[in-house]
Amino acid sequence: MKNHMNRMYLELSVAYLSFLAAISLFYGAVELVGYRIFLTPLVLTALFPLCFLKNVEKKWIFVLFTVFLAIVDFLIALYPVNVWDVMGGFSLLVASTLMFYSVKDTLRLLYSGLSFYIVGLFLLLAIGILNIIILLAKILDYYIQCIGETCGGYPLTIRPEIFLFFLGLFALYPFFHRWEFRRKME
Amino acid sequence: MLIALAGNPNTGKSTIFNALTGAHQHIGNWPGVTVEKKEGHVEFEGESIKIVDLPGTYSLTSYSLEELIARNFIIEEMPDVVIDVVDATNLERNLYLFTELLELTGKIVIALNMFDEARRKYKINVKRMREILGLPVIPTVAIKGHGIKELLQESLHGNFAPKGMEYPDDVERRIQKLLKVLEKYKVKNPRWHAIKLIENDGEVIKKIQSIGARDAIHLAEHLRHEIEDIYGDDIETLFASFRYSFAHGLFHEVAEPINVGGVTLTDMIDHVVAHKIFGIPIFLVIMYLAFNFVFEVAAPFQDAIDLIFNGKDIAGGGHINGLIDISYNWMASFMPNWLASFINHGMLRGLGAVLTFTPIIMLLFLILSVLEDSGYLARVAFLMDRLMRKIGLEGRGIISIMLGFGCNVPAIMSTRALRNERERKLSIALNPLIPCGARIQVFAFITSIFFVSHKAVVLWSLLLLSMVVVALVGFVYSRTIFKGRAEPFVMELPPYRLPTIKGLGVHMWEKSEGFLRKAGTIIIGAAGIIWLFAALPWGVEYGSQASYIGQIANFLAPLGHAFGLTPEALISLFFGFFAKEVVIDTFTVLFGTKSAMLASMTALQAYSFLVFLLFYTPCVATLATVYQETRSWKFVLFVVLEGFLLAIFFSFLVYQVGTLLGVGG
Repeated sequence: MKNHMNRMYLELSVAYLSFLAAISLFYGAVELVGYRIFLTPLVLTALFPLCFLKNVEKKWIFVLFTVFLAIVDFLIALYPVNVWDVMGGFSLLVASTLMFYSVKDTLRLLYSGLSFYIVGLFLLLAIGILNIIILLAKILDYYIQCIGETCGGYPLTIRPEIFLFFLGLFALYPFFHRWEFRRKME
Repeated sequence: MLIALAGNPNTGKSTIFNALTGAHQHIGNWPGVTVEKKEGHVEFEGESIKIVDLPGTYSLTSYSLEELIARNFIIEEMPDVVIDVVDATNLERNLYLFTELLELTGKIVIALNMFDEARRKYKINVKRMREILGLPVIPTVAIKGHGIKELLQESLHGNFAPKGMEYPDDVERRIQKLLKVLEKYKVKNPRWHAIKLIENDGEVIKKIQSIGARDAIHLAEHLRHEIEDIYGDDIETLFASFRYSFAHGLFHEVAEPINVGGVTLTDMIDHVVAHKIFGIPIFLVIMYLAFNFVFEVAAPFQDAIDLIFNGKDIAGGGHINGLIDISYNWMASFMPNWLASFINHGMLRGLGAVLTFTPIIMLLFLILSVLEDSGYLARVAFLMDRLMRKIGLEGRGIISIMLGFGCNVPAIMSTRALRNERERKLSIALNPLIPCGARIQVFAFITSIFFVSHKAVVLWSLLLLSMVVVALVGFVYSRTIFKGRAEPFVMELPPYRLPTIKGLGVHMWEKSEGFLRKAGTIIIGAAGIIWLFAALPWGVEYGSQASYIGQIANFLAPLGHAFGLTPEALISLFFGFFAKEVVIDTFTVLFGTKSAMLASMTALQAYSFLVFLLFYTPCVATLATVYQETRSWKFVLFVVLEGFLLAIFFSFLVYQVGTLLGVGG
């Protein structure tokens, strides 16, 4: 890294990605089992190991940011979702696993870390964008089914995949910023 | 004996040359040019060997003098062996030249130079590389003199059974066509000349013109334009990309990066999607997302088409007439009732049913085209190859199995590419167990009616079941009926690219067109025939027990009890033997409405039916192709029996276990 600011951006990006991974993990589990009881603490504990990571130069900023994200994570997890979708949940869990898996190597500036970062994030964005298109299709279908009948407005419910998509857009930062990843730890 | 040393610049070629020849060198110029020519001699195991160091080049086009010298030497002097000196630390890039050398000669020894440095970067499986290429591969460290003796030993006694690089089918067919013309003119290495002519290589064109083979030049020009039209790119870029894909695939087969450095986005994505542990879950998620997208996005379009054709009953009374109602009322006013019913309730309803599923078909092919054009499907083949290798089926067999998801007929025909007869037969035997596009359409139809909230999961589970069964059956067959060792081969991995809208549109249309054409002919015709079966003999109530279809149903009914298959389901399976899409017709003609279909079966029965449909006998066209490819009625019978046994087993299992657990009742 050329300067400390870049390093700090990298560390904060990794913390943010972990935050996304934690919410994905939570909602993935909720969708998989169909209820949220006992799962909420998952959001808080998922980010806990980050505070003990090595290769973090700006330790205090990183820990504070992580704690802040854990609180935001917890608040987001209060959003009520009553979806039982085994495969939808599995998809979020896979994206979450890939993102968590990237953390350590990305902090060490290894390409293998960035590879998981990219694929995990893109999978999350793909899940999100597909859910947005599906939501639009459902709204269209609702109004087609209403032809000839008296219907109210579409009962809109936003799946977590959709807001995760918008949160995920912020994690695209590394693509606009050239990190000097190296081949291996010297 | 004459040995030529070829390789990229800075691969240590000269160091190897020096180590091989010692002081016995002669330095001069290549005839007519100022490019340095180095020759040397070595005595080894009583053999006098002349070694020529060719100029270092990255490829063998005709753009530079060095490239021309190198390739002309191999073509004209025909060295006994070419040692390709490869910089093992840049293996993938160096393999590009190897793909070109392979077109010139099959007597190649690969020297993996700087192997000590490369080991810090990748884990290179030399044994696997030898197996895949069928050529000697020697790790060398030229500056330390390691591997030099082995190079000479392999040059003298090595086993050369090269497995050449093959181009995509549509390119390969054209190369073969030109090859036949060139063979008449007795040119040395006609395949290489054919490839270069198609590639528009100026030097080769001049050479072929000089021997008066004008027909070959004209044909090459024609074939070149055809290939450019198919792939939408210029010929040089295309051939370079085919060779890079081969090199990339070979690299992934033999090298495992320890620390990935200097990588492209393609490498980074491959690092994850072709990962041993994560590859399969990612594939499952992508398939699920794809199916979910197809069903959910198609739904409003399907409902709109359904509304147009069938109209709808309004809650609280009333009915909106659809096209069928309007047309029937109009026709019944001037023609016999039975004829109006035949046209509208038979054929028009059949057409409506087919058109209702057009959005699903088009979206399905759109998403498959996205996966294919982006390069992801090649990775799926790579992933599956690694998995299936463990259970007996390898290489190109996987590709034919994957083609089976489109249509079993071309998939079975594609097994011709397999060199090993055992693998070919194994692939043919497994192919009908893969649900073709037509079966997937039927799955889409049934799931959208019986599993409204779990459509994607149901379809996904069927595909997963099919893959698991193919894997298990392949495992059993490869250790019993089709016993033997499978051929290793290089799976080509093209770089990832963003699909173009035009490309997607063309591919989607090409694939959907077949379905729509069938819809306009066979399927509407079949709908008419099924209507006749349901309406005859004259005077019986339409679709009743007394009709022909009712009588067939009564006859078949006892067979279906153990599997939860209703008489109507059995009839549809019977007609599905002719073409799987006809199952949709049968349901539509027999029941007319979705609610009638829903009332006829429980969800468990519907799932048992789908499982039966997944495996039972393939359609007539597929069986005819199996016969054509094997020339054995016994093999055809084997395929039919295999399908029925698996269908009976799994359908019985699903229905009985489901009933015991009280699921889906």
